[in-house]
Amino acid sequence: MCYNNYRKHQFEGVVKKTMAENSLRRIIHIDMDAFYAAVEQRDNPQLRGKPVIIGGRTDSRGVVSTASYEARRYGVRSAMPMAQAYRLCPQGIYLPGDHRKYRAVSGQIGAIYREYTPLVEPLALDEAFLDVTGCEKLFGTAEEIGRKMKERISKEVGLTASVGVAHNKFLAKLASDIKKPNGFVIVGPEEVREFLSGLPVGRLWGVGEKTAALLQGWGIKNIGQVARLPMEVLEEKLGAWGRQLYFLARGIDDRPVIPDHQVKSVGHETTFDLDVQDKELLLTTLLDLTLEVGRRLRKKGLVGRTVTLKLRYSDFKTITRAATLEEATDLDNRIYYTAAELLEREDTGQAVRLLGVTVSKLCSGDEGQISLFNQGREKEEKLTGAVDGILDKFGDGAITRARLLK
Amino acid sequence: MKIVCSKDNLVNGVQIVQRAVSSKNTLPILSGILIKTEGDTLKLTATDLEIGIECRIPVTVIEEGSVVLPARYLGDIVRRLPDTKIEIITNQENFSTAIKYGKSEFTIHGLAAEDFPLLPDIQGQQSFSIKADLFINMIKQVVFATSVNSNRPIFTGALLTVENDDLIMVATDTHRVAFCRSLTNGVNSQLNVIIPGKSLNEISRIMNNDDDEIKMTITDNQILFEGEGICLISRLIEGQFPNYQQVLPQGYKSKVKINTRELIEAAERAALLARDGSSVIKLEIKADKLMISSNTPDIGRAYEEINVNLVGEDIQIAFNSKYLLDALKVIDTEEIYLELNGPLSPGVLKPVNNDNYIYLILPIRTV
Repeated sequence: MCYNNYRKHQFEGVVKKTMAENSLRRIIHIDMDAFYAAVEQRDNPQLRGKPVIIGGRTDSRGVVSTASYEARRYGVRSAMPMAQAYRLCPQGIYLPGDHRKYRAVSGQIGAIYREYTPLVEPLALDEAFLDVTGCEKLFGTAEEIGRKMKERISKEVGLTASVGVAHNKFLAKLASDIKKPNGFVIVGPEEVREFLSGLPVGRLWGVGEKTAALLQGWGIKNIGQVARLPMEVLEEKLGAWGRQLYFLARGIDDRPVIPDHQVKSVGHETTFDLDVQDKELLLTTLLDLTLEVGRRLRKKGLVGRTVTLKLRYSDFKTITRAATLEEATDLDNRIYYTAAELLEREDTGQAVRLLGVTVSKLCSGDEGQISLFNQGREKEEKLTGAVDGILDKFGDGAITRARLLK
Repeated sequence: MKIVCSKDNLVNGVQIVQRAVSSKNTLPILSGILIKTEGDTLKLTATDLEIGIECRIPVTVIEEGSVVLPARYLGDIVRRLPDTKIEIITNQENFSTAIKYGKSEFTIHGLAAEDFPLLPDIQGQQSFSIKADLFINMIKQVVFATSVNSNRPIFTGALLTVENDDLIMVATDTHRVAFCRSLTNGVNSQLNVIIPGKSLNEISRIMNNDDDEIKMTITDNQILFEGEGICLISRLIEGQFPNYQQVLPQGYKSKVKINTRELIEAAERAALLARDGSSVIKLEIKADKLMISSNTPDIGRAYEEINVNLVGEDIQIAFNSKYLLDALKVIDTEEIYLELNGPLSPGVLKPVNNDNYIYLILPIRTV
């Protein structure tokens, strides 16, 4: 009892102190509105005002990656199977999406962010956290910076964004999400309690269906109710994570904005339209995936030592098999041969539904360290570099392996 | 077996052979040290089958015999023994071994000596001797440039060969090449072997008696080093060592004379702010100034300036600071020459007034 009281005091101390420190930070979360769909609508006036859905083919197992706000009115949501979307909105315009274009637009937007602060943490192509603490003298308050960026994105890129401004990442993200699209929400340190209390628990960072159901079981529906739970109870029921929840429910979040999110692995996977048993087709697909992984590694200037093969069989049983190389690599062939060997070893008596390859244990490459006596590898590096150059200049598909020709 | 010896001799012997004890537990007996009486000495042997070390220490043999004792415990025990007469008694029936000192004793369970692999009997196809200090100096100047990555085994060893009656040792990890020449005579000109870096490091550790000679005997796949009371057998690395002569630049565009100490200190300071991983430091040589700079974006930058003597063009080049410092630390002359041929060509470090050491260092391409 005594101990608990002591702990409680200690925590309250932490809470007060953290609140004081946190209210000093100025964090902006910017989320592009229906990004992929908006880019398509921007570039093709005929799509404007119409339900546009970007994703896989409607007759396949693909999912919706973005739905325009017009499409959302029909109930179409991201991550929904395409077939379901099609049932909800048969008149929709379905597009496969052009990720290269989206990446380019995202880069353009990122360049605007970086004019205001180097502390930009991209979460995806369409959203990012910015820490503008201490930028007031240069660019004005966080609110002013947020408005300026929103305006510039609209003027220079031709897209709308929703912006949230707060003193931490959790609140900023909530704020940007609350008045989408084209929203602008500021949560001041004094408004936190009011802002959070009515929101459903699912809005808490990390609370998914499972935890939400658990909390509902206790009659807890909104964040305000979570905030009334003592730390001990949350910790007891949810472990270390309950402790995080305790702080989040009070709007406390210490996570810093980390520029250039550190990549732990680079991978690519695909779900077949029809389950595949043919080993040759699996190997061909594997090569295709590997080329993408290799290219992404090289773009990021990373090399990795562990190659992981992922297989999901038609009964949904999923296995992964990994091999570690002696020397970290970013070369397509080395990754492919390693992954192919792993695939050969598997008994693919069953048809395969999903195939994936990942390279992990990453480190940055030699960063320009020149070597001697590397004729074999040098040749392969030069070849790969030349192929990358062609792809950069003439676009994906400009050059490919004979095996991948259709 | 029953012997009496001094603590110092015993510690010395155990420490010399201990490094050859296998760290992998493939064969349990290899985690032990074989001790065996031989005349009025005790012979200690350890091997991991890649390298084997034998050492003889003077003892008083009361009863002949042999036993294998666990290296880890033996090493820990003998180091802590009091400085007194030590008695080792093995029951040859069950290999239980007592280590007695004063009124106290350890009893250790030993293993049968017969189970311990015999070190190969190296019969000299080729052999020659060299002064220990000379050879160890060569090792120290070269072996750090071997690769620690076992990916390409050739680069984990140093080449030992003969050029115009001189003994040559060369090592490279593909990012630098260290080359050392020693004037010796009577060396067989056929010599051309690649010795694992680890074995050479052990040689320099255990055979460091300046005045001794080291005798080398070479077979197709092994090399035997013999010194005073010690011998080491190592396997040789198979394969063709790359053509190092071809990569040594013949001329230079810029040649700088630098005070070794000043360069070491400046490079060490600059390395503090060189980015982790590649440890890049930039060198800019302009007129008679060498500027060294480094930069870690999150932390800050370093700038060092030293006076040098430049012949030829001004130049900018970037190196991995570790590669530069490794060599500077083994060069014992007051001044060095740094010869450069442009920002993307290898740089060469040479001691002033000494043609017998060449260190080639490949630059880092900076955008």
